[in-house]
Amino acid sequence: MEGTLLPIDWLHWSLAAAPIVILALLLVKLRWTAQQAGTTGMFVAAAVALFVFRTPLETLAVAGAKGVWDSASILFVIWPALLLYHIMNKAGGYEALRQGIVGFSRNELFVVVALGWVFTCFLQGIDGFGTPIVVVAPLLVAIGMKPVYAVAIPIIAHIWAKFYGTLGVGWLATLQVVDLDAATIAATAYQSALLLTIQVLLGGFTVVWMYGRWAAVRHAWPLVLIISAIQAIGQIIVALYEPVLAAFIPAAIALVALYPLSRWRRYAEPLEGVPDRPAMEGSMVRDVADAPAPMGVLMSFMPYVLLTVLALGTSLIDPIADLLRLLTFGLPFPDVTTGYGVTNAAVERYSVMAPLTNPGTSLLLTSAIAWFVFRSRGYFKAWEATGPGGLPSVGRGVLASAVPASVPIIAFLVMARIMDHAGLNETLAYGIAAVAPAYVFAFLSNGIGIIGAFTTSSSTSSNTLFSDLQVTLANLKGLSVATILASQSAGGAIGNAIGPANLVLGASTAGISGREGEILRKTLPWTLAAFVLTGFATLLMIMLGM
Amino acid sequence: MMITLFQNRLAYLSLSLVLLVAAFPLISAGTVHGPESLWWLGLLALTCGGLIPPVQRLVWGPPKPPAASAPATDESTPVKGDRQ
Repeated sequence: MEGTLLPIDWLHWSLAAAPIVILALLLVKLRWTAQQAGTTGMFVAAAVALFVFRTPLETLAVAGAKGVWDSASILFVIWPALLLYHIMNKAGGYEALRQGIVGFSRNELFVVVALGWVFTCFLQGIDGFGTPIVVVAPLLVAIGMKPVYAVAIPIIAHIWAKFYGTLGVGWLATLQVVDLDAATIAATAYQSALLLTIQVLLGGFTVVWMYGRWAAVRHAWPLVLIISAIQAIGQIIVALYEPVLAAFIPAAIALVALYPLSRWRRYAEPLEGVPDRPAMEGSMVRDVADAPAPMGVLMSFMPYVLLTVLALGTSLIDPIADLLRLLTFGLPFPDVTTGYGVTNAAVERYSVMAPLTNPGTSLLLTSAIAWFVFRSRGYFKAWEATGPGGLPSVGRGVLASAVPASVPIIAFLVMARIMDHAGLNETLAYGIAAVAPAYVFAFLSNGIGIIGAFTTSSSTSSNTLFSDLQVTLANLKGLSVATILASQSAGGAIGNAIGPANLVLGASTAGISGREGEILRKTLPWTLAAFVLTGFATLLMIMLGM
Repeated sequence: MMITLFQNRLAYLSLSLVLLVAAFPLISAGTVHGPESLWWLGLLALTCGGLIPPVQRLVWGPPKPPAASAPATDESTPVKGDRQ
């Protein structure tokens, strides 16, 4: 293969894929916990890098350390998110929230769509780093959803908003690593939004199908189509003018549209005719009167309203955002290389993090305010007296859930960085390109994005890793650069549905740490379906000469 | 002491976390400013921290089957407890 010293053959390709395959096998088939599987995957990647890809120990050490730092921005979300979760739980906030949601709409399916899909996407529009998953999963558990589904649903639902979400961070990162002219940039923005339509529709219908199979789909299809139209068409239109807001604006409009939709009789009345509800443990509208919550509905929503206001304020108000960006952290690393010439340049400050603009700060501030308000109003004591009892203290609860979540997240990102620094990722991508004719490569190109997102649990990282390579391969194959980049962007988003760190994030806030494999079994078929549909759509766009 | 540590999930995972996190500044400082022993120490911390979970699995076996198999009594589901 031109342009690389890496050995591109079946043996090396298979060995480069070994860390991913073994990780998936341990999680899904052997049911190892994420901590055990993640750290094992880390060692498999290191062994392949060291013994097969001629990676010196110093390069491995640097890659490992960078991986640890990569996890910092995610851990800074998950610890405060778990703090907020335990504060809410200890104060009876989730019971109050459940009762409030029942008052908003007695149609359980509508509530699942509103919370699990629309609200999740709204959060993804402004925040990232897994915030929508850690916030929404416990809310869905609160309305009676089984924890595994409560994690799988928001993960699948917010995938379409990954690329343009978090105020366009994935889009901006892509533009940083590729050199495109204005026409190609515009075409990439448009075609990416077009391909993401598949994820909108597939996400919405999957959420409904997971809730109540085909009977639920028959009931909710008008709702799914209306919300999908707002999100998908909205994203395409906004992407043409201001890609940074292409997920946020349609997601916000969809959230507002919930109110008139909730007045529609079809979705205002309790759901009937859906006998099989595999995602639910009980009924959302059960025993409200038997379990009086210590706080009112508005108070239970207060932390989430506050979180939204803080996230919007720190992202959209430029003077505030600029001020908060002044505080940054990052450590230096030297130039490192491998025996196959894969080189990573020295950096004065690697992956600079601005903690005050990270959603973690908003979550931390929200948690602190919620704690003071709940404590001053006596909710903790009230819920201890009337609630279920036996709940751990907030501090112990946070430690018991955040520590098991943090170890695998670090391990996954160390594994990803080792694969990147040793050239394993490049070998995988070049290998696919080497054996695939142009049209087959076009079909498979989103798979490269999926691999990147699976290993890093981040669409932005996937695009940073592979966008430049995809442009090179598109030129080599004589394919449209914009279409292949759009396919990479779509794949980078899709891969998040099976990103191990995302599974751990959700599992920790849904109280099912260690059962990540079960969640993966729910999200994997969706990922495969999205991969195939996106592949065909990419192929079609290439054939139409877009 | 080691046995006690490995039988307490929170304790051994906390140790693993501390070792993994400690590797970051040690390797950065050791590879950029030296001495070399510093990044070796960091690599050792990364290795030990990473080894703890799989070693625990291989020596003490898989964790007890999750109560999830009987969803109605899933004690690992925090909010579930609210409804009891």
